[in-house]
Amino acid sequence: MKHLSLEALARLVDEPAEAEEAAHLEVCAECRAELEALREQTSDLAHLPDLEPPPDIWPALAARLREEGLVREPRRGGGSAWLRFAAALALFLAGGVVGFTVRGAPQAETPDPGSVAATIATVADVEEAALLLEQTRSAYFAALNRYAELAEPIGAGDLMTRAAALESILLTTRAALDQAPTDPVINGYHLSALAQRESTLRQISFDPGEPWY
Amino acid sequence: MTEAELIERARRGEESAIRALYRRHAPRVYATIRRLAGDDSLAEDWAQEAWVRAIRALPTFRGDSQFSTWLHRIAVNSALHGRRARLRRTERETPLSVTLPVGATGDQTLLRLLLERALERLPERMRQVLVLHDVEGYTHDEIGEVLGVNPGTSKSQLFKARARMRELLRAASEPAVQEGV
Repeated sequence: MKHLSLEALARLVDEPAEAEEAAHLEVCAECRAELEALREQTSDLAHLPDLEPPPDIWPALAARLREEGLVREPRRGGGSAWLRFAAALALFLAGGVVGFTVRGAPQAETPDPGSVAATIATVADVEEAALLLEQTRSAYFAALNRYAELAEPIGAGDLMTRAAALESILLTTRAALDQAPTDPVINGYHLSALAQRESTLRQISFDPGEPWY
Repeated sequence: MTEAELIERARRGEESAIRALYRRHAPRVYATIRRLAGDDSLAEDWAQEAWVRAIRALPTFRGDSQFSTWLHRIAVNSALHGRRARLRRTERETPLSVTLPVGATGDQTLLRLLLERALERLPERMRQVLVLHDVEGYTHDEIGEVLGVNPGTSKSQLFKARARMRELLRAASEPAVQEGV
């Protein structure tokens, strides 16, 4: 018995068989198996996944785009500097809220949001905004650390307040990341806030002798 | 940020936006080009070329089609018309049949590896037609258009390519052939 050629079977993957071919397939298990294997092969090819490109493509591409003048040189504090500034201010203010809520009033160690707001109004350019951003960021984290020292030993109620405030900060940073998903500064803030919230939640979870509610 | 916003920022030359678009679409672009090229080093060159062409052409992107579809066309054209400046790696490699584990084709990862390696070993025109039709879902009319051939030629090349793939895969799964016994 003469079998169907592989090319003929390959055609039958997506085209109807002629009468003679159909008659042969009726009686030939070998050709039916080959046709089935070809169908599987075609289906497997259609489902091949995407491939992660080698990591060295992007640096080479970025360099070439710069050479050809297709990208602007990144500037320090440029581009999304105002977004970063907004995120930093939001973090700072939320940090102030944490201190105020827990201690009853802003502490001496907590920077005054009002003075920062006044400073913002005098900012004239992106470079200056970037500088203020960095100062604000440092002040925020210093205040948060100082808060943590002052709040020891801290009760479950205080921890809940802190967790809620950190959640509020995360809402802000998430909103900022929606606008600037690649911004390294906002990503840094978000991750820091996330880590602090997780740490706070762990303290709540492992506080012995206290009910979870 | 929406894709339209990223595209707009990329048009203005913002590197972070271009990088975000690259991260989002590079795996799809690279997979298409890698399979058409049949070679890693060529694929790297052509992928870079495709992205440069796309960024250059961004001002002409009107949003009539999806950005991914537009970009994919550029990738295919870059791969089909890229210069083969480097020696193809597959010409220096050992045959497919001795590089693959025996009886391991049921594993999805190994199956994919096997398919990718078999694609590399097809003659160039057969590989192009097979990738465009069976992997990328092009019609024979579309293949005829991008390759400059008539649809009948595309069909004929496809059936030859499928048959050759089948032979390669069958040989790879037969221990006696693999070990040269």
